[in-house]
Amino acid sequence: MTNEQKRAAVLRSVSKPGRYTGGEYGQIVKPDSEVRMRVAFCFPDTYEIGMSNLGMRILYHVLNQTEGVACERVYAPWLDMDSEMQKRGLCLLTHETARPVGECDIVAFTLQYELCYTTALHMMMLSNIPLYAKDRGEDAPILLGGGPCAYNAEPLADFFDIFSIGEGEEALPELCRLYMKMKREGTYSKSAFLHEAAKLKGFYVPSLYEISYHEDGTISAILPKYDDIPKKIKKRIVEDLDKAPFPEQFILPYIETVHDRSVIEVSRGCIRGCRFCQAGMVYRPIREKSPDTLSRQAKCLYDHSGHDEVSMITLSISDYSALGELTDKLLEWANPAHVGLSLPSLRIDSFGEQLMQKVSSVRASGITFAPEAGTQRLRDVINKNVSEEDLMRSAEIAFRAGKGSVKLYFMQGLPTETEEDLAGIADLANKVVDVYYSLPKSERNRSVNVTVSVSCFVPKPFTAFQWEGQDTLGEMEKKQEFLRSVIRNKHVRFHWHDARVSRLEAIFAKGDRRLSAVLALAVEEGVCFDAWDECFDFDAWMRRFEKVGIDPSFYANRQMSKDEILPWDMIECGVSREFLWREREKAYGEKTTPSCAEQCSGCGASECGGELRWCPKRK
Amino acid sequence: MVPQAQVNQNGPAVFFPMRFRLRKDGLLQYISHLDFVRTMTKALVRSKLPLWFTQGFNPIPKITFAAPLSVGMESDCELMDVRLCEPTSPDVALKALRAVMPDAHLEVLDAYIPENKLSSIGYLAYDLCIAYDGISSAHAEEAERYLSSPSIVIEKTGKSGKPREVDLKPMIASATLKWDEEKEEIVGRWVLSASPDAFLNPDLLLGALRTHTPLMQCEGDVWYSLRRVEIYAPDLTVFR
Repeated sequence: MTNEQKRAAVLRSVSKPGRYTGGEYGQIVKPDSEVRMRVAFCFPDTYEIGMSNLGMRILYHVLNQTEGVACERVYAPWLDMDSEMQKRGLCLLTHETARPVGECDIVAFTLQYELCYTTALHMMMLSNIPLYAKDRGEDAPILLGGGPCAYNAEPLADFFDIFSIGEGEEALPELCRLYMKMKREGTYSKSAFLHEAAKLKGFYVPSLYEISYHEDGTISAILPKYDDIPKKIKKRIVEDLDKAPFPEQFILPYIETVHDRSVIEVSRGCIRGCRFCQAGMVYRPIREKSPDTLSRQAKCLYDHSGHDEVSMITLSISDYSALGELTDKLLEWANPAHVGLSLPSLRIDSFGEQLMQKVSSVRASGITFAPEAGTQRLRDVINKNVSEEDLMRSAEIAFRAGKGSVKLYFMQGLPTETEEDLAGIADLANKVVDVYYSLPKSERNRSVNVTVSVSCFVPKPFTAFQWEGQDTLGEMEKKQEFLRSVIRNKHVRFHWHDARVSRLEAIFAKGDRRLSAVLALAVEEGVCFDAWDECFDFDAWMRRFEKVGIDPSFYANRQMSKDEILPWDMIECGVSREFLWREREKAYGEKTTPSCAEQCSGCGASECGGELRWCPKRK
Repeated sequence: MVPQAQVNQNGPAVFFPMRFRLRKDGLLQYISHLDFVRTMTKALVRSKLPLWFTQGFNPIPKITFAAPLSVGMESDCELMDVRLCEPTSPDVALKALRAVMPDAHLEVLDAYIPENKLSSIGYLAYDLCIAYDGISSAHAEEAERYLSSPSIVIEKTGKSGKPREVDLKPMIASATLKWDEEKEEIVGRWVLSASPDAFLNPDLLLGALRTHTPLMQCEGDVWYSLRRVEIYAPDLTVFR
């Protein structure tokens, strides 16, 4: 049998073979004569999830626009495909040209979530790439990491060669140009390249930084190995989003993916300052695209896709300064073309009837609000500046519009939380039900259904709560039991997250490079897809920690001190450490911080530059 | 040929039918029918052809496909009917749709004004090709002998969950299996019923052969290809 026939036999035997075929509309295949280097851009999760990621779409476009660079996509094969490949000794291939990933010059991973670490490492293994950076020779590809987890990718420091910190649109082409230049001039060696790359703004080469530890396990120093590389790596941003590259067309998957729609990026950053939220800090300063740019980009995507929906993504759509103008501009061409608009999430305080009528996703289904905490006191602690009245008013608008179902998102285990705060979650849900019953029958849906979804707080680097410890597993589970006992309304459904998943997430979110030992062990045991219920095995993880002699509570549960050197201290995300500590102190004082639109809180992100419409310091 | 306008039974809106014939093969044989439908719907929207939208609360373009193709089957004759709201020449339609197709393995072969309803298809012709370790001419002979027996009864699980016996033989217009000495493959041409009340999926027939003859019985991977090559009316003339 030929190799092609073998491949056909495998594709017939796996689920959803359409995710492995490639050949989608909009994929970019450059002729070999134009290619001087190849980047394998890997998404460490399934095709269906990866294909919906906007960041990867943008960077795929940007890299392929860079002269000499061919960027090809790679996704993690699902379990059945994975085992068929291992059985037959087939290696991981790129989507565009079915090239072995290990033969590419740079293998880049976007790290979206701590629980995808094992999947990323597993994909390296499937590509026959040695796991540890120190074991890879001159012929091996350069392993590059980026995405939100790169802000503290220390648990992966021993496996990756280099991390891109911040936004990649300008940084990644620079890195590629350096690579091609050194190859052309004959000055390339892996170590010379990494040394040079470490001098570029926004790149962190973990092997060039020496970490030393105190006897109690905390870090005593982080020192660069050379004088000519920065002590602190500053993140990159794109200053003007209107001028930032954006794809004219998306790759259209054949199979159904998580989000099958056109997506425009309305803004980056968030003017709120929720103290648990990492995205709200690391994407600062706030930058917006103009309604003209957005409408043009959306129309262009529609023309090249045939999607019947345009989604506007941003951290907080209602804070966009020209929302009315934008929706009007979009609807002008979208309505006649039968294209609907959708929004990702709405803030309770700004949710109005007018906006609801314009947006199809809101029109179609139920509606979701995120009060995050059950009492005003705790909402002040986390700086979620919405009041109970805001929520009730928004709920009333939704019910009056005929909605029958409302989803409420909360977190448990937030700093300073008491039983009263947890009971407040049940109270709020009951009051939302009461709002429904206060309306005349003719003005409301026939039934009401409130879903309360409670996740476990995970302290994240570069937030005001980065020094905090997480509740212990026992505490988290006890609180879930308590919530079950107080949520007793027949119209209210209670959903909770697996506390064990949140615990593992906290360990890696706050972890340092000593955790590489446990990751390597897990990958050796064949672990991947930790974020999937069918693969997640908490007890096995605890056994591994024990085997390598690491106490996970040192990372997840320990309260760090003000002056402690944090594992991610070599990274500068724009928002200063002093600001974050100030925010932490205000949290414990139950004091709120106004949004950037009202008053500057001096976070420091304005130093990054950018078109700072919101930042009063720049006005 | 000038397209004839037709009147929609549910409303006053006039539309003009157009039929496309497509080829779907190579790696794209692994795209399911539902995904194929989604892909073609998007392509039609991109083509900017004057699509006729359904008149309901949630307007969608009206697109109809003939007999769904199984995953892992190739075809030279996928038929897709589209309603347009303006008279459009087949040449223009063909050109517009070709310009927005995703991949060479999904090709628009033809566009024309339909002559018969998709529900009046009679037969589909398939070419097949089989290879595996231990394949031999004896396997081909035995399988062909089985195909020519007076009845081919298999057990099928009905919608109620109860198994029932079905005779496939009346649904076979013709079926061959020959040994290709040079390639060491078994090749065949099957013409099977494809009418709405008696649709015979060739996979079902392959399953019967696997159960009752030595065909495709081996330890390792079995490779086979199945390709729809033509569509016939009930009288075995080419369907248009």
